[in-house]
Amino acid sequence: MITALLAAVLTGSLLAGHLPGYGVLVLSLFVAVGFRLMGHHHHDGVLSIDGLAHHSRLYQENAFLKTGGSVALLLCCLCSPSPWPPVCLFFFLAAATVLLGGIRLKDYVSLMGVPVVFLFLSVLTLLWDFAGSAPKDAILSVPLFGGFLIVEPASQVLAVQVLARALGAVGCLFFLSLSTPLPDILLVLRRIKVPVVVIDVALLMYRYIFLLLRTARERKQAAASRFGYGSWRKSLRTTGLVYAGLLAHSFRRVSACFDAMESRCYTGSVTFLTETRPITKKLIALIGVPLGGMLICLVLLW
Amino acid sequence: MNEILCFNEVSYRYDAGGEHDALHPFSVRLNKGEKIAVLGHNGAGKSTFFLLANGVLRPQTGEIRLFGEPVGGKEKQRQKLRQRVGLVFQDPDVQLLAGTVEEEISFGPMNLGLPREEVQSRVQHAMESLDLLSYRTRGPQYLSGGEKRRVAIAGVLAMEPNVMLLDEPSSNLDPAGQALLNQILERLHEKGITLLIATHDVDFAWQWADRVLVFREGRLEKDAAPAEVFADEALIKRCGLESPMLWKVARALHVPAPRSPEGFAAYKVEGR
Repeated sequence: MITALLAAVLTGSLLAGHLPGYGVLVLSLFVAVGFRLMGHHHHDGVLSIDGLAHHSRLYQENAFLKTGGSVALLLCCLCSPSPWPPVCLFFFLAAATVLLGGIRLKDYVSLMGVPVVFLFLSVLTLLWDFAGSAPKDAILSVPLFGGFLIVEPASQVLAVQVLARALGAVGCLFFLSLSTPLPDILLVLRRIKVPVVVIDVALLMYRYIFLLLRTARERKQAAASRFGYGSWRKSLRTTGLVYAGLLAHSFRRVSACFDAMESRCYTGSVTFLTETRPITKKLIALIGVPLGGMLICLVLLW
Repeated sequence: MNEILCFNEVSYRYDAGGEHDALHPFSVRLNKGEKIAVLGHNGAGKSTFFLLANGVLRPQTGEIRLFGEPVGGKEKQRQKLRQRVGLVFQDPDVQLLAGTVEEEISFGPMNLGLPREEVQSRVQHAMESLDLLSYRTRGPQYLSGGEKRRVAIAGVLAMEPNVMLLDEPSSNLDPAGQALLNQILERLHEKGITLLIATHDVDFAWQWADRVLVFREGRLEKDAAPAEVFADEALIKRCGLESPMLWKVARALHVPAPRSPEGFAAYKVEGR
């Protein structure tokens, strides 16, 4: 609902001055209804991304090229002086993720919900400005507390630019994270000589966050089954108890996990046997085509 | 008998724990290819015994010998002990680290500093032994309890230990998982690995083991063949154990207990 409202306000402010008043209104309503219909169902956020990545058909592709390609595309996106290339890139990568990767469109749209809210909020703050008096060229001005909330043409241009770049960037990141589980990305970081300590810590955190979340969920369910969340006061108290228990549990767990690592001759660095997956023509095309397109656009536009 | 591991008057006491968790001096020898069930109630010292045998804990008194050579306090010697004596933890989640099953199994061999080809062949071999080949690129965190346990066992097997210690491997397993585990134990036994299994399941201990260790309140109460252990009813009662179902039935029928239910068929049934 919030997303739909934000989208409507955003559309209105962006289009104001470019279309007649009723046109803006109709389009805004249309966008709001669209976002409302897409809805967005509940999911476990970051962890569901990891699970989806494991099931992606692009999972078996070379992680180095996927990561490098996504970062290169991301940079092109950020450098683009026109809003069109990043928007095109977003749709291209979204299509690749859904059609080639086999991620369900429903999941993709639902995951987009999170960054989109942030994006809309930040673009709105870029669009609207507060001034003591309304400038002549202001497209929209709303009197407020003796001053005016205004939208200027320059800020409209800027907002569209930021929106497009951010959308393209989200497309790149989703392409990467919905085809490459975190351990693969960490492996790439290891190759480019990121300090081993950083990677080991990231790896262990990745591993144990699953355990932590599962334990937290079990404890919450156990508390809920004993009416721990019956009233506001009770749920406050229960939440405290659950998290305190979780902390104590984690400390005990850490020593057991360390014992388990030691028992397998751990001596200070976490290393696994890793296979470098071959680079396929499919992936070269998948990264090369948009990258080439973006570079041509950049050269032509600058 | 080929002796692999020998505990000589070994004892251990936790800093924070009371009498409850301590292990009083005890001696035991483990030989090649033995199938040993380790019985005792919770907190009797089974897990501490395993952690000592694996070299994670250091004995406070006494001495552990590996192939006749004393294992001292030096890190290198303890690493050797950890390599020769593998430990599979009760909760596989404690053990699993990596993003894929294959990487997970390679953790131990990689720590041994083996060449890449050797690690590859060991990982392959361990996956074959535990029917895990189709799980190669799966994430361990998305597997079921029984599958996780097989990955944990494979991770230890890939280090090619002479002795494997399994802490309650059948806890949380469904009947199918239990049947698969029994097959896997048989395969490990055929490889000549000495198996020690901590368990509460006396039926399993009776049918599977050829030697039983019974712990009670930090003391090794009994180290004998299963028939001798389960014949000692006072011991069973004192240690909070139960007679295996086959023993109960045999006792009711006034016949000696067979190793498997089919064993009863050999007895002559008198007609009415």
